[in-house]
Amino acid sequence: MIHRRPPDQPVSADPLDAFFDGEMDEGAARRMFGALRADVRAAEDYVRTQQVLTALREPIEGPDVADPVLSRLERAGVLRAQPRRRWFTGGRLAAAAGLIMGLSAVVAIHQLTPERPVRVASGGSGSAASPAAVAAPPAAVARGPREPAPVRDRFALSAAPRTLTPLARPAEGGVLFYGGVGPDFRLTALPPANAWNRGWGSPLWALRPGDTILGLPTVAPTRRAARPPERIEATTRDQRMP
Amino acid sequence: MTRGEEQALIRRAVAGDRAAAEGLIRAHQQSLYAYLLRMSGRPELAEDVVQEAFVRALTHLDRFDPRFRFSTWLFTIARRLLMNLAQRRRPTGDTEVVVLMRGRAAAPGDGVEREEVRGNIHDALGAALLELPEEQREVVVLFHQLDWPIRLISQHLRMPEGTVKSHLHRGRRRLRVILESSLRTANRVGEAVA
Repeated sequence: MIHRRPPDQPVSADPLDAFFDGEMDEGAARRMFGALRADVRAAEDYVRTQQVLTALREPIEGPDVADPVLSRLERAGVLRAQPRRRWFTGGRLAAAAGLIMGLSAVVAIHQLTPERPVRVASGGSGSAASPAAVAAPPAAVARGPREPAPVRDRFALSAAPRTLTPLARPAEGGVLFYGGVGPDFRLTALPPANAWNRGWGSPLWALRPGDTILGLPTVAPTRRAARPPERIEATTRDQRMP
Repeated sequence: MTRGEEQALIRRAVAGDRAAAEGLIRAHQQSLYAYLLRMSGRPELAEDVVQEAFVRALTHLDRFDPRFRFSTWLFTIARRLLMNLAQRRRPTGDTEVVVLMRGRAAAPGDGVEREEVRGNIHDALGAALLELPEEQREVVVLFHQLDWPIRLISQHLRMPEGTVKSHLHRGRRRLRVILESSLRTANRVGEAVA
């Protein structure tokens, strides 16, 4: 170990002390070693001292005191206790609660959704059915008739585009008689029926200005476009209801 | 560890950070133990003082002045503790190291042991250090073993730099003489037994 001599400090009187203090520059050290060759006693001192200092600088393996010291500091409240691994953290509980609520909601939706009576289309195009509203999944078809699957599994709700369509609205100052809605519409937002048409087995409405019969399409728009709703009853203008 | 890293560890340890405290302990425990072992020659005492010094230093870390080195502060605490504990636990006979050396020199058993007596400068060094006056021993250990500069030793021991140097020169010379004499004696005993 060679220390640089601070400029304001005198060089030690003894050259060996100056050398071991690290206060000797390179030129002086070279001169000292030159002199040591001629001075056996001084050379011996140098070698012995070097041996002592080398031995002194060898590392000493000591015990690891970190754990006992840290334990004492924790007990004394100096350090925050090492956080233990906790399974039930706030975040995990919130995530679990969210998952459970989500699953519960899905189950509830499945169980509370009314199983609509599905009229299966059979035969001609004039029959009233809503094939666009339901669709049988392939799995249900593959199961076959001998293993009837639960109703919920047999039909899946589809998001078919549906918009309310005004079916009839009387002109201003007139009354419109309207009977029947045709196979492609389910009536909604109905005003009260005014009469019953026995011949057609259909209600008959006498609409006044402001009343509108709205129909909810029950078939796909493309099919409906090819087959316009059938109006059963024509209008009778300017006839007021009694 | 740089000074900045050490300061950061100290700040965190003051706030109660366990990992930071552990970092400080691991950075200084070996050098502190070596210093205390060389000063006392008693491994158990040195270990106890190391533990106690860390507990005290870290407990009162908020009082530490960051303009100074942590090691200087720690060693000052340890030094005081060692003096107090060494007084209370004064051994009845010689120190452990001296007993070991004399035991080997007086009754060496076989050739291997004689070889150790002849050649083991390390054991002889421990004993020789303990024969030095305390100031000389401390200055020699701090300067040559722990690489402390004269200025820092001067602050630590609260003595002028010239006095530190004087202790260093005398201690080094005396250590060499004691060691030479000790090894020469051991060699003579070994040769006589052989």
